[in-house]
Amino acid sequence: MSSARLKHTVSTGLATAFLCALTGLLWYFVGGGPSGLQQLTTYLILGLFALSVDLLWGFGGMLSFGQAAFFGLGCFSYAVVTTGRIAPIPPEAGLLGLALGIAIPMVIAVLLGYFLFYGKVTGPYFTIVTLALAFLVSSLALTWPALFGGWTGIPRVPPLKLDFLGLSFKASTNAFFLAAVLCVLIVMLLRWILDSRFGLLVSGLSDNEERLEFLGASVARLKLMIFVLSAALAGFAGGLFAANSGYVSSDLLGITVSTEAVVFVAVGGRRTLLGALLGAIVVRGMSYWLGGVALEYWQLFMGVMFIIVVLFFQSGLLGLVTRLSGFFSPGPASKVSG
Amino acid sequence: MAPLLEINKVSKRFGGLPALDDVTITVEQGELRGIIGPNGSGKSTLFNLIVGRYRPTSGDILFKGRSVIGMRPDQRARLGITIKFQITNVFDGLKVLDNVLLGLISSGRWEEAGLKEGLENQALSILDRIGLTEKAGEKAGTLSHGQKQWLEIGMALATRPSLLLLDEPTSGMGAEETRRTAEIIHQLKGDLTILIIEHDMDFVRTVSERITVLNRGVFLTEGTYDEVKTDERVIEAYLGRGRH
Amino acid sequence: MDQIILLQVLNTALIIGILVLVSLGLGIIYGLMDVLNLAHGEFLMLGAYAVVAANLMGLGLIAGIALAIVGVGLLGFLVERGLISRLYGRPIDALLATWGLSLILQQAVRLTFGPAPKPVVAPIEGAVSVIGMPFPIYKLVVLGVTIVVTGAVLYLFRYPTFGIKARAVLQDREMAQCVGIAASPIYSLSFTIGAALSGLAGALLAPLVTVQPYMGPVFLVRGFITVIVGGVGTLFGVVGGANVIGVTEGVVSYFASSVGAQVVVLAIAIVIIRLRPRGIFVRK
Repeated sequence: MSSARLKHTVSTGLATAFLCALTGLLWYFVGGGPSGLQQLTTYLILGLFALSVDLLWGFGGMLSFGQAAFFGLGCFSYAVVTTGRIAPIPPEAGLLGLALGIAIPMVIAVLLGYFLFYGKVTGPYFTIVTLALAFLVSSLALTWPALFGGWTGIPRVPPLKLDFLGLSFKASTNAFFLAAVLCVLIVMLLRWILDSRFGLLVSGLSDNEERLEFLGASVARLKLMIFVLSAALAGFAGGLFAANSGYVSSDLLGITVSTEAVVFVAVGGRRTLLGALLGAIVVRGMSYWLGGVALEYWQLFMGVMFIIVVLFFQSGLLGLVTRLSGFFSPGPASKVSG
Repeated sequence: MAPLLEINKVSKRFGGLPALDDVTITVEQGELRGIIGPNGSGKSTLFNLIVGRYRPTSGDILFKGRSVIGMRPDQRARLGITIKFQITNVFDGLKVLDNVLLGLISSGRWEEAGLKEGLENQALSILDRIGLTEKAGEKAGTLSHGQKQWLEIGMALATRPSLLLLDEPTSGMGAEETRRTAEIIHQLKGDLTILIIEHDMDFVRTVSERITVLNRGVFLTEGTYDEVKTDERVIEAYLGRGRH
Repeated sequence: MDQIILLQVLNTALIIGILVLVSLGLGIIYGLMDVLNLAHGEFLMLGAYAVVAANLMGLGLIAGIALAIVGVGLLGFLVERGLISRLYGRPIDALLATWGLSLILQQAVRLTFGPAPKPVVAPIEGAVSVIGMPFPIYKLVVLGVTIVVTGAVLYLFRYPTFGIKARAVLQDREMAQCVGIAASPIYSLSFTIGAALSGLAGALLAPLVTVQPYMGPVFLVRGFITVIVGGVGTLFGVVGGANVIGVTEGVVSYFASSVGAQVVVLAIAIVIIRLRPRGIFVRK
């Protein structure tokens, strides 16, 4: 049976590669060359963040409005290390920044998750607590300008450089390929994990938590693991985001970014891996094609999208595609539902 | 040898309502014990207390000599106490085979890197025992009520329990299904200790060796089927007062 | 020193009063319909802007308050009929939809009135001398109003036929429907009342806080924490919870900062969820 698992992983990877290639070509030729690619790279990175939200929500059944805290911490870890803000710039600063951007969110997720899950804070209570925490974190960041740069943030964040490989990701095409490759690898990794025993436990968790607990699984521990994994991915995406955009500010930690990711997942299709990436590309892409819409209309647009998706498109875009084509399959132990 | 399960003077009150009052029951290893009593006698509450869904208001519950009060349900399941709930509780959205697999891996240690093959064979043999092999690939939600009950028994078996609690395993079943359920339980006799709550008296007679009777949250009597059947107090409990 | 403490006590009472108004609405909606109304903060915000609008039209605060109650109440009614009623039994979807609604309302106001804060002048100027320290009369008036309104709402939900039916639905929806209580009109009316309460709170608050389009979420979060802490499904519990949260906030922000108060309140909420999952004031 593990050859089926391998096949499933590879096919998901291929589908992701296909998506990246297709959108890459589209954005390159229609979006005016390298600058179009740069847009797409941002969407892919945000898609990785959305993947982390999907992992927690779509697969783990826990809706959080505060995942951007982890994303933002990833951004700031990278920015602080590579700009030498509090200490001299170390060698391989980019890699170190990314690594810290993964490690710090993981540590916080462990501590926070321990209190929340072993404290039986679940369901809607969990969602509200994450909402409160999101506020808290963005307020706290503003009280520490030396680190977080206050209202102005941290400018001139250098792009990723891998000195030991002699690679620089400053050029748009390089950055795009890196993002695409990372997307494919991460999606494959997640698919592999979700098809494992752990993944089956996760399916059981979101299907019938009580039954799982009475069969002997430590539900709190499971939730903690998903939470930490999600935080790590969010932090990684954050680091990449900082490297790609060259600028970080404290609103990257807040509610707006968190909710945007939830929209991506809802639009693309909960509980599917590609859906998160697709949602990010489609939603952000729409705003770009609508002519660089100003922030106030963007929020309005997202609000309307939320309601429309909830009322009419519960399975998201991918659900629609699945029904139409019957080709993309979400996997053995899962269901595509709203 | 110490009894497998000891329920010592256990009481459970919900708000002002006493669901169980000072109940003491002892179960030896390897027993097949029936628990009967009219509606509201506290049978399911007793099971929920054993398995950790509720906490007793007073009294103690000992499993293999150790008190389990304060242990979470998953801890008790790992100790060896598993339940089939009164209202069927399976993973509706997952395949039947996956349901049993979850029973296998939930109670064990899942960090062990995964050879899922060995587990799948074990799951399939359990499905064989309960007669659901053809349904292995279907979603559990599509099963009939009786099939879901068997599935839940199968999932419980997968956790390799020492004590299996079956809360009304034949509810809603026809004669043929009831017979098959009795067969399944007979095959398990000796391997593990089983407590069964039931209303179907014929079924109780065929599967259990000893029967405990509860009435209105209080322990009434205990004995073999014949002893219990002819006990005046039991008859009165079921028929209600006003007969004489 | 005592005077300052007394002032802080009065300010805390004010916080509690406003919190009660906001949380009652949330508690009614969540307790009755299992709907986490994430747009509730925006109802408050709209109430505040109703006063702004009234001022722009040259009308006084009383008109503003009336506009807030009626306008936001009406909006609540429309929202319930048009959106929420389709999502009963789907709490996560209701949550997402109300979040979308909150975004829409925030932006609608921002586009109409602009993002800059709108100052609102208190209609009753001047202060009263409380043990030698001045305390604004307006704040006392607000305090009085919140007490009266809270009493009225609690009475409404306790005694008249509506109250008894509503509490029945609150405690056990299926049972109530079996007994023949029609849930729909109860939901409609309750959601409307909840929204109107929030609007009223916003209107009363308008002269006291910064009125800007994003003022809602802070009250939303506080309101939910109050409901969680005080108890879901019991209105007295909500009042009790507001007291707990209000006092905590008042005390901590007196000694530390307001951000510190937020942290402490959140920590307490988490602890209480652990120890008393259905709230402090709910019988186990």
